[in-house]
Amino acid sequence: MRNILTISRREVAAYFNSPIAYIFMILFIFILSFLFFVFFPFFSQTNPDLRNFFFWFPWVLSIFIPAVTMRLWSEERRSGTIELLLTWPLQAWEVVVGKYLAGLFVIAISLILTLVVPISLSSSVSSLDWGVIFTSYLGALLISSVYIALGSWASTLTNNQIVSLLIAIAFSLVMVGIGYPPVVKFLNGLPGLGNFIGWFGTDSHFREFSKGLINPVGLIYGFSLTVFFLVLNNLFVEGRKF
Amino acid sequence: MIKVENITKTYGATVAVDDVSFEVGPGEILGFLGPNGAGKSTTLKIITSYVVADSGSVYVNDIEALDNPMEVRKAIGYLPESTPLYMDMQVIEYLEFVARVRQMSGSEAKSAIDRVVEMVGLRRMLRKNIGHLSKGYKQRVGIAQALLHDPGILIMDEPTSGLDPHQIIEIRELIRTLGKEKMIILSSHILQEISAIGTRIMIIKDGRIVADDTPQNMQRSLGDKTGFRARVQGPAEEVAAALKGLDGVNSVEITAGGGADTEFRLLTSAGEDIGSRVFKAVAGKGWELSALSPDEHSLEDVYLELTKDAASTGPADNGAAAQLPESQAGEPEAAAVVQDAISEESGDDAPAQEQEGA
Repeated sequence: MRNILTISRREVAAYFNSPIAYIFMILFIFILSFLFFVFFPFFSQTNPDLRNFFFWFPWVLSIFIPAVTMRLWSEERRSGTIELLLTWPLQAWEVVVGKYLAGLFVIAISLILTLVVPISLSSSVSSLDWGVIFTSYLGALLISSVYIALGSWASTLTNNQIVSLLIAIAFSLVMVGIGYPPVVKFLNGLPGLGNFIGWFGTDSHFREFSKGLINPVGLIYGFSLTVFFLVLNNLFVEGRKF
Repeated sequence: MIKVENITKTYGATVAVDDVSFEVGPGEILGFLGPNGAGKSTTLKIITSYVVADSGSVYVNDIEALDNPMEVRKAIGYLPESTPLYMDMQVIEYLEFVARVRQMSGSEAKSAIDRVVEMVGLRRMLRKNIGHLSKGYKQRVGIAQALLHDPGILIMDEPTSGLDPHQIIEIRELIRTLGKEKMIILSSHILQEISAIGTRIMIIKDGRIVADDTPQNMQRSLGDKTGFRARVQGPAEEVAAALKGLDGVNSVEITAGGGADTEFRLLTSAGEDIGSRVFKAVAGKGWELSALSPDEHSLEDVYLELTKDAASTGPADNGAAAQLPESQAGEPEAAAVVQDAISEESGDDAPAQEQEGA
């Protein structure tokens, strides 16, 4: 555990020592607010609620999180520091988990900062349901966890951060896409297939949470996909030795 | 103590390390010498458990490296090639991080950092960002990192590559000091580097060890190739004849000058110290001996001889890169490769003070 935290601390410091984390957080809040207030004008709705705010989370996160995770392994490979990292007395999985937790920390902070939107609305809109807001954020954190593990794995594939970013975005978009209702409906042309594939998508699970439900299946989904990608991440790191 | 047994490593069709075995004991500074791409780094990576060999085993202090990589990693301090560091961290932050990675407690870390900072001379740089340091200081940070847990074994891949002559001397001094209490393996493609610090030289070529001995023995094994350089003011032909007549001198050639001021290269039998004989012979005839020095480049002859194939396949194939003056290159091809290698590296790692044959 100590080793994991040692790695996480360094990674978090690396995010905040450079402008990455700050730029990321500002852009993240800006884009979500733009989509919510300008693109789909919130105040022109007859019955204002935050559904349209959270609607965009799976998509926006799928593009933003790879920008956070892209450096996790690519940068170690590019600079050669991976050689020290993997010859210090650390288990590869400790490093993998440490890096994942650092990513999760940065995203969690970013998500907390977006609370500024519901909070700023709370004085003018009386109908805000804070229970739903809480479960929506829980769902957002859960699918973020999947994207982070996926992005971290993707960054083991190359020593080029941009390539790693693009691979992670591609995979993350697929993860949202396969759970997106129109896609599910389309795939259901083959009976049941759409529902089956759709289960692996982030979108359907997140929508449950944004309705105010804490679905155990969703929790299991988020946890198991995170573990799956972390195991894959570990395999790719260990595999480099051979 | 490190024992390497029959390790082999291939990358696709390329054999990087081919059935290599050797042992290194306490008190040794093993210099691993070879052209770029000969398999030096791969061997070091296998010992440090960064790379797993296809076959063979590595024992560090009698521990099998694959069975117990954590114990092996604790026993070794490692400085990889080109000194990778986290450029965004301050020196002190980085060393504190390494101390935590090495499982040190707060007070252990503090005294360990104090010790290595003193040893490598980083005191004034602690609050600087690593990315802003000069190459020499970065190298010291890398070495500090490797020394932090006071390992019995130190492995350094090209530790002076890219440094300026002053920095090279400092790092060499440091390595020599460390060698008094630690077992050290260092690699280099520069001969002078290795013969200046190593107590033992191992030459590797195409993944195989082609020579393994002390610098002195290696020179001795040259037989009649060991020699002296003498500069004499006197009639060249007569001087040459007189020198040739000396006991232990096998041949004499004129290497520079001619006329009244000439440089001669004397090839002597192994181990013969003919200095005083040369002096007496020259003085006896009333000529002047203005310089007399052992011809240390003869070690380079061994190196070039042993790594000849690699050198003649051309620069694209990582030719030999011994830093030798043109006059020494036996074959024009080898000389061209050497020139290329030097210009590729912008001459950075050519230790100027040793460029001219001593």
